[in-house]
Amino acid sequence: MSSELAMALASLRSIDLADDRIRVIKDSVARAIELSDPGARVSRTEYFNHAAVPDLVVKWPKGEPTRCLYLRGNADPVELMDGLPFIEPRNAILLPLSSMDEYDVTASAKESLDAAARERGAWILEPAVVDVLATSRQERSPSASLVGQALIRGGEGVTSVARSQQLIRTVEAGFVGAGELDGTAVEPALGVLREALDVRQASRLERVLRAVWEGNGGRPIDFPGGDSLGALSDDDLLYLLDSVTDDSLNFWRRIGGAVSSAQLSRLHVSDFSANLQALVNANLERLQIKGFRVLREDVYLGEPEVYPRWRAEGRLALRGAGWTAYLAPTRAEELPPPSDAEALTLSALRARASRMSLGISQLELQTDSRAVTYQSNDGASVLTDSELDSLATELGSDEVSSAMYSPPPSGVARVDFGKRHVVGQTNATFAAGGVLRSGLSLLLDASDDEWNQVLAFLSSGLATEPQPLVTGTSDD
Amino acid sequence: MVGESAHEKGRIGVAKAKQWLNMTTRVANAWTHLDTPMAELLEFEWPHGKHQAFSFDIGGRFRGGKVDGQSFVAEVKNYANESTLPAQYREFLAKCYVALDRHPQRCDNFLWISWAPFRAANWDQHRSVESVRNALVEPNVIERCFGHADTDLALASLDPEKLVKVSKSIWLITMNDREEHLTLTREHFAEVIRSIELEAGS
Repeated sequence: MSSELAMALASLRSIDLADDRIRVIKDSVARAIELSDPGARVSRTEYFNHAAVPDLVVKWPKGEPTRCLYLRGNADPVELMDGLPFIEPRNAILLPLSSMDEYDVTASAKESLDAAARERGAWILEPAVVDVLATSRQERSPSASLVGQALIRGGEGVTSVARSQQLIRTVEAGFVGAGELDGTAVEPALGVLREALDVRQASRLERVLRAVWEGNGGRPIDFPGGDSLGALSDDDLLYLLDSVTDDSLNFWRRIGGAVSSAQLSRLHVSDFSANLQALVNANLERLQIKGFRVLREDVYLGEPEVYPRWRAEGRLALRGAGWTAYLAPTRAEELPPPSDAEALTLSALRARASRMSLGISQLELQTDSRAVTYQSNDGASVLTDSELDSLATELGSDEVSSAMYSPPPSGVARVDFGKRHVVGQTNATFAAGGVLRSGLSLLLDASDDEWNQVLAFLSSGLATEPQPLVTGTSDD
Repeated sequence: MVGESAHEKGRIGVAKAKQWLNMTTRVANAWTHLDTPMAELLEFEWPHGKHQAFSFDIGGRFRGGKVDGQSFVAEVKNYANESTLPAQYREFLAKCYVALDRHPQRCDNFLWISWAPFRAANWDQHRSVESVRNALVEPNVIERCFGHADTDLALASLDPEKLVKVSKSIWLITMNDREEHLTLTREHFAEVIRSIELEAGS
C-alpha cells in the first residue's frame, strides 16, 4: 500500500539527525490522523517514545474527550503490555512504529494485550492501520470514513490491519443492509462496532444505522440492535455533517427519514458545508415546513461565493446572491421579522407565475387605503381572467399584495408580497421542495439565469443521480 | 541485529534502563536498538578491519538544566557482578571515540549503565583521558580502529581534543534493582508529568 505514513517511515533511513526523524514521524502521524478525522486537531509534545508522556495530543472542538497518543518504537506485545501501567490517562492511543507480525508471540499474549488495552480504554493500532483509515476516507464509502473517524475518537483494544479492513467491510455492508432492511447484514456490523469502539462511538454509529433503517421504512422493533439508543441527536447529525466524506445524495437520503426541518433549524453548521447541501437537497421532498420568508441581505465580507446554498445557523435558510429565504419548520412565528416590502404588479405576477406554470386561485389588489379580493370559486386560476384587468383599471391600482395558490404536490399556501413570505393556511405544512420552488418563483425578483440556477438547485434531489452544485454568482 | 537483542537478560536491562531514564523526567527522547525507526541511529562502524558494525543500546536527548538538548547514547550491562565488565568497558571507551569521530551530533554524552561496578579500586580513573587512550590500543580493537597493530603509531595518530571530549562525556551509572522502590510512585510521577505537560501547554 502506498501511503504517506508508510512512505515516511520508509524514508527515515535517509535522515541522519534524530530530531529530524522524530519530526517526520510526528508530522506524518498527525497528518494521517487529521486526514482520517478532519475534526481532529493534533498537537505535538517535545517528547518522543516516552514511557508516560504522550508524543501527540488529539483534540476535537465539540466535546469529544481528548486522546493522548503515544508513539512506540516497536510493537513487541510484551513491551507494550509492560508499558501500559505508565500511561495514566484513560483512552490513550498507542501507535507502535512497526508491525506486531515481526514478533513471535502467542495468540494468547496478543489477546491479553487486547484485554488489558480495553480495560484502560486504550487503543493500540499498527501503523499501517492509520494508512488504511486515511485511504478509506479518500477512496471508499461514507460509512467507511465514519468508521475511521469513530476509531480515532473511540477505538479500543488492539487493531491490526486485517481487523481494521474487516471492520470497514462489515460496517459498509451493514449500512447497505440497513438501507435494504436486511437485518442479517446489520447485526454483524453492530457486533464489530461494539467490539472495536468505546460505548460513546459505538452507540453513535448504532443510532446512525438505526436512522438509515427507519429512514428506509424499517420498523424500529425489527432493527437488530435490541433496545433503541434514542433517535439521531443533534450532536449525531452534526457529527455526520462534519464527518461524511462525500456529498452523495444516496447516503443522505438514507439518513433523511430520521431528520426533521426543526432539527436542522437547531444546528449551527459552518458555512459552506457540502454535506448540508446534500442532506437538505436529498430530502427536500420529505422535509416538512410551515413556510418561508425572503429577506434582502447583501453579500457579506468573506462569504462563500456559492449560490444558492443551504445554511444552518440556528435557522435553516437558502442563501442566494443578495437574498436569503428563511424556513419556518412548524409555525409562522418562527419566521424572522419582515424587513422590506415589494409592490408587485399584476403583469409581474403573471410573468413570475409562468415560471412554474402556477395557477393563482385568489389574489388581493390594493391601493393606499383599499383592498379588493378576487378569487375563483372552483379553485381554478384567475390570472388570465380579463375581468381582473378591468377590476384593476377601475380600482386604479394593479398592485397585488397577496395571492393563494397550490404548491405541489398538494395544499393551499398564501404568498404575501408585502412581507415576502409563503405560509400554509391553518395547520398546513408543506413538503419543502414543492413550496420553495413554487413560492420562490413568485417571490424572487430574479433574472432568468438566476432563477434557473435556483430551480436546478432545488430540483437536484429529484434526479436519480446527484447533480453538481451550482456555483458562482449570477450576473443579475 | 547488532547489540544484545538476542539475550533476554540484556533486553530486560535495556528496558529497565530506558524506564529509569524516562522516570528522571530529564529525557525528552529515548529509543533502544529494538525501536525500528530509530535503531539505525545507534549503529556505527569500526573505521578499519572489516568495518564491522557495532551498536549502542539506547539513544536519545536530554531536557532541562545544563544538559538541555544534549544527545546521548548508552550502553547497558545487566550483569550481577564484575564478570567481563572491565574488558567490555574498555571496548565501550573505544566505541565512544569512534562514534564521536563519525557522528558527533549523536554523542554529546556516553552513558555506561550497569548493575555491577568493576575494578572499584580504580573507579575514579575509569573516565580519565588515559583510560580512553589505552582502550583504543587494546589488542582486540587496535586493528579495527587504526588498520594496523602498531601501538606507538596508533597513539600518535589520536586526536587529543577528542580524547578529552570522550573522557568528559562519559557517565558511569550503576543501577540497583531495589532502587526502584525508592523512586517516585507511579501516581506521583504521573502528577509530575501532568505538570510538565501543563507547563508546555500541550
